[in-house]
Amino acid sequence: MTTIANVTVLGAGTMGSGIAQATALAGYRVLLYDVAEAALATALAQIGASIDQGVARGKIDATAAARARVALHVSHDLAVAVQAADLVIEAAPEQLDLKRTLLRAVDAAAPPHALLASNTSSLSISALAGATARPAQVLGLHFFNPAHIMPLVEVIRGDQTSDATLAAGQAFALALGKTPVVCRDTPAFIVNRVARPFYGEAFRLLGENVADVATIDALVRSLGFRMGPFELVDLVGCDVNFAVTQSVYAATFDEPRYRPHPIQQRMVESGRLGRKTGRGFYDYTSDSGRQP
Amino acid sequence: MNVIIAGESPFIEAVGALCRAAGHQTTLYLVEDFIGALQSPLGIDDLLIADVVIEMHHESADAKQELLFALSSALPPDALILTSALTVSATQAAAWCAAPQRVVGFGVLPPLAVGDNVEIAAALQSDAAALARAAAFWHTLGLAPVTVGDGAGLVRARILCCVINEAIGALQEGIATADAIDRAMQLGTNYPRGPLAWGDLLGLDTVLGVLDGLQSEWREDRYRPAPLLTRMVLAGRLGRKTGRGFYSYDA
Repeated sequence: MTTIANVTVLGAGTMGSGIAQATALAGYRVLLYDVAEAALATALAQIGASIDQGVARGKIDATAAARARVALHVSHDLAVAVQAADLVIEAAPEQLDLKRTLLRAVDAAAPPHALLASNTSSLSISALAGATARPAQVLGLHFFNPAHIMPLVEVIRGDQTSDATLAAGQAFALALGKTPVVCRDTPAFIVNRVARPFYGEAFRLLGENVADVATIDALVRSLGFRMGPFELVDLVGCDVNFAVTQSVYAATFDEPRYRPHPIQQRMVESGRLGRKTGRGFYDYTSDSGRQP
Repeated sequence: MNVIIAGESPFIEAVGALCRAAGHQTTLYLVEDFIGALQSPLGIDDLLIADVVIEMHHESADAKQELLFALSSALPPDALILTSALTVSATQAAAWCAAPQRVVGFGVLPPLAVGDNVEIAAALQSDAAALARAAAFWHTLGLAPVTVGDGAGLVRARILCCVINEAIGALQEGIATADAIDRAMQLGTNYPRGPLAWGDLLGLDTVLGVLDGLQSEWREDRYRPAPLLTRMVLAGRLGRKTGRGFYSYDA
């Protein structure tokens, strides 16, 4: 099995930064790549602050934190960023063409032994692997936001992924202190698929006037869920939730279980995206706290 | 009050325990025993003095109809009938009853404890007195009533059983193992239980009943049960109560 020491993370957004942080803290040498230099500077500052906070709260060992700061580097030159990589984790925006173009370039510049992983939440690993000349070495490593905290990694086996690649992916997730679950390459994998009805039925219940937003959320919380469906959509963003719903619906060629609801579209088109805009299914702008 | 409870495990035991703790004279019947007793020459004496009947049959709509017709015909006309609206609407259940104005729908999911919510749904036929009596009765058990609109599954069972069905579909397709699916939902999105273990806890017969009820009421494919769910029920692997479902349980 390939020994992994050098990990390159592509994309300095929320997911890429979180993955880079978790990887550096686990003792790997990490190169974080992004085309935008400004994004790299922002990511480095955020990761540094997050590590400081972890140390202050006693969640991160001070020695590991010091080592991680030394182990983390950035680059905006893709060929340089991947030239010594054992594992490349792609966390670029969720667009098939963009990711395929990126992986084609990585395939050309990375060492032949390097494994190429994608953090995609909705695209096919097999389709991404098809852009490379090493499909047996391509796999999915799907982290959950915030990636430096959430304990799950879906390790996705594409149609051509080798056993050795899959085993290396599981071992890597374990080395990060996370729990890997192996999953076949199917639309939305496990979590985003099984969770569809949690939102879809809630939208329908609201649309049918069976109960209001606050009542549905309270009833769902009464089952032991930390948040009800509408609170969770407000946290994730109505736009993100709508995009995932549309993506799964399209990927399954209009399976009726995944059909988006007009309420989702109306929330997005009216700009009520959730907490980030101050208004979603709840109003977050009031001084007296969240209002229905 | 004299309370009769008929239906399936683990629902009848969960509600029965709260009734007894509240001091009600409570008799539990598994649905098959209940129908058998009703058809015997002796009948069920308890029915003649019952104040409240709680019906929680989820397995099949035909059997629910038979049960509700038989018990509502034997009851005093002013006895309150509380029908679990997880698999058919309260309106449908009331339509199967003698004196339907005293029928009110509800929804609970085990495990059940004092302080939990009970969903209450008025049938189109429910009269105001029955609704008031139903709310008062649930309060005596220490449950907090939440009024929702009528419809198979009400709020919680509808959302939860659709999630469980989706997990069973993923398992049937071999996307991941049962354990991996359950662990992913707990660790990836903070579910309090894995959906397959949750199905085992509720009883897969009830989960199938909820989906059948939703599909029948909405006539939409989105509620079709995963074939593996139907097969588990056919094979008698109903979950914890039979010792085996997606997981095995010690007797």
